[in-house]
Amino acid sequence: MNIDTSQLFAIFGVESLLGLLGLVLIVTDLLVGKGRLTGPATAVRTLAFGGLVAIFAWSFVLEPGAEGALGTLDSFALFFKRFFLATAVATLGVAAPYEDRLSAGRAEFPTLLVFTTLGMCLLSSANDFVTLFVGLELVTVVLFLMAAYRPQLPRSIEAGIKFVVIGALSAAFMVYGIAFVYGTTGSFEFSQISAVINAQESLPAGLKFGLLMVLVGLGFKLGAVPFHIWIPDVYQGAPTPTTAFLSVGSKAVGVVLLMRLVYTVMGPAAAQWTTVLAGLAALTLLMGGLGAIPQTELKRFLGYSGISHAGFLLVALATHSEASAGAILFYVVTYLFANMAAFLVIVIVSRTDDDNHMDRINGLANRSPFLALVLTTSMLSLAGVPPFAGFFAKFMVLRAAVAEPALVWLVAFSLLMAVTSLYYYLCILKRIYMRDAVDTGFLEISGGARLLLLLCMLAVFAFGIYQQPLVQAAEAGASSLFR
Amino acid sequence: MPDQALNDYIPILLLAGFAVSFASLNLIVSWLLGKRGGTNPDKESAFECGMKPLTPERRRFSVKFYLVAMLFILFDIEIVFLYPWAVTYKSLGMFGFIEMVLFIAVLIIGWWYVVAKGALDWGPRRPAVSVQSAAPSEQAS
Amino acid sequence: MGDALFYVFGALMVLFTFLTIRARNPVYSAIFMILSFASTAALFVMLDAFLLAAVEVLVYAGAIMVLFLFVIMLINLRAAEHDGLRVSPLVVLVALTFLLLLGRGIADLGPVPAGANELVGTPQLVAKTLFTRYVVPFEAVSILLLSAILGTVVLARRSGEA
Repeated sequence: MNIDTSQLFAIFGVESLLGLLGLVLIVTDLLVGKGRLTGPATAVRTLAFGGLVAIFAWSFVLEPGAEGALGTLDSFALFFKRFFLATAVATLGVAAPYEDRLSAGRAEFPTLLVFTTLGMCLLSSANDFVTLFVGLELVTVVLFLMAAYRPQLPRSIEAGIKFVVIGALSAAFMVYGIAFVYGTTGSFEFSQISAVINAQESLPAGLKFGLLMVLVGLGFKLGAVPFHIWIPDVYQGAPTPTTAFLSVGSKAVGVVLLMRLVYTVMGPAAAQWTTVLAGLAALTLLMGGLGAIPQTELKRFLGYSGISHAGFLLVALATHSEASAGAILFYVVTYLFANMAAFLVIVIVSRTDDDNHMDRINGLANRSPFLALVLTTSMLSLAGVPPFAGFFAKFMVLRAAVAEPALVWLVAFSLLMAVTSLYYYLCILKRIYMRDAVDTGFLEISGGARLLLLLCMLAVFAFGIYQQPLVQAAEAGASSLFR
Repeated sequence: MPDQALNDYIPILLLAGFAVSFASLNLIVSWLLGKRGGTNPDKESAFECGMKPLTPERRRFSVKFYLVAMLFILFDIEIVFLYPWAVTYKSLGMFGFIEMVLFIAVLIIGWWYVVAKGALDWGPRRPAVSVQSAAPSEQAS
Repeated sequence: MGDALFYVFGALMVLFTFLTIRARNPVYSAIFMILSFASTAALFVMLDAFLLAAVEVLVYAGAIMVLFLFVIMLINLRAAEHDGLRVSPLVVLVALTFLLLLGRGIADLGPVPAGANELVGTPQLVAKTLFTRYVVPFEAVSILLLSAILGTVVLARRSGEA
């Protein structure tokens, strides 16, 4: 087999550059930062930020369509590469005010972030189960490290250990499933597996079992019930920037792979899985909706809120149509902005990592009207209240789902859970505006953080009012899955 | 698998059998010939005619042992990839060569990192260069 | 001859795995696990998967077990703290259900797909696909190892010296 090197770089250009960037960061750390703790961290962070922004900008020059035996760069893959790069940039923004709390390893944090992003981008171009598995391991192993990044804190260690155990379990499911898929189809390639699946009337039990195991493995990444148990503890214990990255990145990794598998690999045969996916969606919505109510810590609360968003994504996934695929892409982007803003606010209002009790945001409106406004926007968008982007995302999902008669019950249930979830988002708003502040210390907001918050808030507004450009990009990305 | 190929393994099997029987034979012989007396707590202790141990015999090991083991695994896995490559590198040509150079270059940076950060230094700590941070520091290498 | 050896090594593997979970002393568990890995390697050899057999011995029986032993010593697990095998009915139920599902799955795996029966496990054949078709995941593995190295050093040094 001959490899066309230029084609290889055309498909995996973003990944190559990210790899190079990561290596440059390590070398910078070693050369500049001999024996100093703070110096190289700033240099490395700045370099990482510049590099990621440059790669993000460059990704808009790329033309989708390069398709080779080794991977695909369809507009779907490109959409998610941009998404992951944007997530990484935002995470660096969230990490900047947090950096003082890291006693060491400050320079390594951006480097590890670049490497996970590489894994995520690799996953969006994966064309076979080998690349999928290696990419997934790259993502999860680095996320384990980032979750346990403050070993002085018992909670961080706890988060790391729980995450490792659950991550190993999900990887085991995944590999086990892949082995069965390989055993029954004789191939790792998505295209060949798809051909085998769609050539048969009914799937052999071994293949069904294999695909089910793969779905279970991805369910862990997405945080779908009953594979969600790790979310609250890991979200709470991990350093906040890691949690921010995890909440958006890990979910999107699950989404990317599930979409690839359900829409492209299973193709029309996925209709048989609608019931399974719809059931999972209903359970996930229920758990996310009810689990968030008693929470008293912000990060746990956002964890449960993330579970309920995973439920909406699963509703869209259960609907097998191009419109629902487009809705998913739109949804994750709105989730990115709203979530990153919320986590950055948490970093600012929580002095130490352990203290993200909801009391922290009491009376935020008086202490910092700007932060209060940002958090309000973000909460309302997550809740799906009309003028904001989150509303339109939910609307797109449900509009696509209602077209399928078998899913009408699920749409009704989703609406019910959306209304329920409104309750706890409003509780947060009540704390912001109607309670007296517990903590009256000065809130320091750096210029960079202010800019990022403003950007997220504007995006949430803008995509809620004028959705067309994002909808078009999402639909273009989605349509390339169905070709 | 054809039986012919299995025949190549007969020497290994013989060797394994020999090893197992040698070990068990030794145990049996010493059990048969050795003198068996009663046991008492002193006989069971780690140092039969020394002081009674004051602390549990198994202490916690330094995390450095673990670090070495972990790094050993990581570089061991690198070596595993070299093995199939070495068998076929002629037929892989230039592409295979560059591929492996890239692979190793990435890991050499990792090795450089390990050495530069002093992760493998076992000696006493040198006095820290900066005192501005109370946190444990990398320059302790 | 081949079949007989398969049963011998298969039985040894099951036996050693059982002893691994049965042993009261964690160090014994680790030793039994090495033996179980060795039997697995022998099974791989019988399938002509020589590379896998070598990896099983090099990485699992060698490196991973060293790590296991170090961890056992690091956390200072004592034999008395470990109760050996405690089986709750729920675990048995789950395991049996899984076994049933698995048996059912294997029972109607359908015909062996074309290509699955060929010789695929020799180092040469693995190398040929690994270094051409799977060049991208191969390079990604180097990044994965590098990140693991970084993380190990960062986490171990701080927790070791804090």
